[in-house]
Amino acid sequence: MWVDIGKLIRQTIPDKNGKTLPWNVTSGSYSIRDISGNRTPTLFEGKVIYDKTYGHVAYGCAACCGWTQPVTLWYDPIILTFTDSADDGVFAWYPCESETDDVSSSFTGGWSSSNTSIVTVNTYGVHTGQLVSGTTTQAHGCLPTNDAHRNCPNLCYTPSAPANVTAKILLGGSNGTDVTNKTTNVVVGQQIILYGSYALPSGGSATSFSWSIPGSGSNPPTAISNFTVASDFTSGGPAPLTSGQLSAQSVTFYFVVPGNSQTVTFTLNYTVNGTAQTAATTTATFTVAGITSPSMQTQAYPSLTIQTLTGCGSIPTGPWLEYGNASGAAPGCGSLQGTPGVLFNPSGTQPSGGGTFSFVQLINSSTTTLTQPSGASCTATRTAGLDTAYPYPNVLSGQAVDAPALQLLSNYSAERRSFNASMYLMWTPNPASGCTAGAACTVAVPLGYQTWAFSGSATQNSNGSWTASTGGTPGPTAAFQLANGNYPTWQNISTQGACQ
Amino acid sequence: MKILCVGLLVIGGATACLGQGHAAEQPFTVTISIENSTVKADSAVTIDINLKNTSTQQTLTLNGGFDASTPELDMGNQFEVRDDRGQPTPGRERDSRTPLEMTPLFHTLRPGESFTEHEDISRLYDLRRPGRYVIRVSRVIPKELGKGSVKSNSITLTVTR
Repeated sequence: MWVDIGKLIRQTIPDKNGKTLPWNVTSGSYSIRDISGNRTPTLFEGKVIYDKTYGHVAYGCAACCGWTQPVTLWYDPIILTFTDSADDGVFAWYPCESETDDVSSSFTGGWSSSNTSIVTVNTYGVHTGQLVSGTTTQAHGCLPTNDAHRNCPNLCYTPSAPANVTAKILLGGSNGTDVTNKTTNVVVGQQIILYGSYALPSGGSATSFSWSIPGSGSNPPTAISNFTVASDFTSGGPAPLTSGQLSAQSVTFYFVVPGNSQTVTFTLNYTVNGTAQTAATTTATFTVAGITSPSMQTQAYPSLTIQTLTGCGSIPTGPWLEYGNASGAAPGCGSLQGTPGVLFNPSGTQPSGGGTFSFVQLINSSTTTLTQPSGASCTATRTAGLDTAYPYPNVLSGQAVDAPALQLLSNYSAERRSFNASMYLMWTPNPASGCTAGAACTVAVPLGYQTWAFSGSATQNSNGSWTASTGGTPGPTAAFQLANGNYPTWQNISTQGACQ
Repeated sequence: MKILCVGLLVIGGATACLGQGHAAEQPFTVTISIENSTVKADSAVTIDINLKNTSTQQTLTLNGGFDASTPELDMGNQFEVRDDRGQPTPGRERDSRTPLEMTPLFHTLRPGESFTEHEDISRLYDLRRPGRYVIRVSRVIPKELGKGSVKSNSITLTVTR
């Protein structure tokens, strides 16, 4: 080897770390390494004196430096999904610089698999999974030692490690996208179909599958099977993922709460020739987007009022005790104009792809007490349940409104009403691109709810007119509550019972 | 063609723009169908009532209402039920001593949008007598959009023993 030290100094040629020799250097020790890749001693050390006046260099003696144990494969074990490929290589300890070096080039051509039906490996250490199972792979190669007295002879090694082939997780079904060991962006309320794809060796048989989905077992669950509402609205609520669904090769679900690093695990238990094998586990990670800072502002009318509303059909024109200040036709008889009792305005930043707000109102309690002139009274109670329909239909310009009204009958001296309900704010994303599942592409997810109430009464005056009084402050009873996965759930439509 | 825009107040807060050139046209349609046209006496009789905004430009709000004692029935739908002799079938008597406890209902329909209600009219009419009944539904046109009502098609129900 010939090195022109003077040229290195004059042309300020950097070493591997980018450092250059000072222009005024006259002497010092050197360490020169041959990076040509041949299998000869690759390190030369000594002392150099650079005579700048006459331009010559004197150098000291050289020694070799090579690699020692441990010599290992990069991955122990190497885990790869079937039909996919992954690189492997060899590390060796390099005592001269106290570091671990990649010496893979010295093992090129020396790779082999103990069972090529499970894993194949090529000349360069690229592994390819063939069947879900396990075997070992190894690499054979020789490295120079640092035994300078014996002219730095090569020493050969054959490091090996297990090579395990696992199943794949496909997003979208059996022909879906491979999301194994990746992070994938999804949106709350969008349907997710995961499929565990695998192939077993001859004599192999899958004995069971299992899915671990974050949030599916929490209370409330943040990953669900569905949100279902009966066609006649008489029941509704989330359907949790069942053990059966979590034990199938494919699972369909919806995340309902945003979150990062939601890691799903698929486990395949199997036998080969009747002997149980170590379960193959595979993961996929999801970043779940949703509405940012969801909220709902409430505008509440401060009182109950008496309104004379125009009737139709079986509904007579007459006075009503109304929460709000709307006049016109009686409900069912035409339009009302004025201010409703309560108005809910949703807000929040939607994720990419957009979606739609909707509402669900649950009646928590509602009682009506009718008092006759004699002083006798009865009370009618509404069952707790869904108010009217799903979704809540009274939405104008994106805002939900309510204006409950109680008909005032002349045969009573007083009518009293107490009402408590929770308005849920829901959001449904637009379907993911390419989803072909129709209505199942999305479900509404709960963002939060606002509980509100009013109470008051109407008293009939001696001239037949009515006077309203309001109990307390109508409107919200507490701050807007984030849902955190809590769905509105009901078993019936709220219905008024008989007065008893 | 002039466009007339009518701004309603808060509850009926949607803005309706009515093309004068189509003032005589119905702003929406009511179409009814029945899932089982032959039922046994005492069975529920569920009718699907489809309300459709026929406009290509205007959003409209149809007003209705629910009574808490029959929350599955939109009182904005007016039924006409006649027997096979053409005689009106009387509605079920409601206890007039119990006040209605109503929630106003607003169906906001964008241009071309429709909405279907499913209503069990046996809650309103006594349909236990075997025979044929002809049913039709009408709905009041909001006064901002015109006068009168929109009538549906007729359907025939056969009640057997």
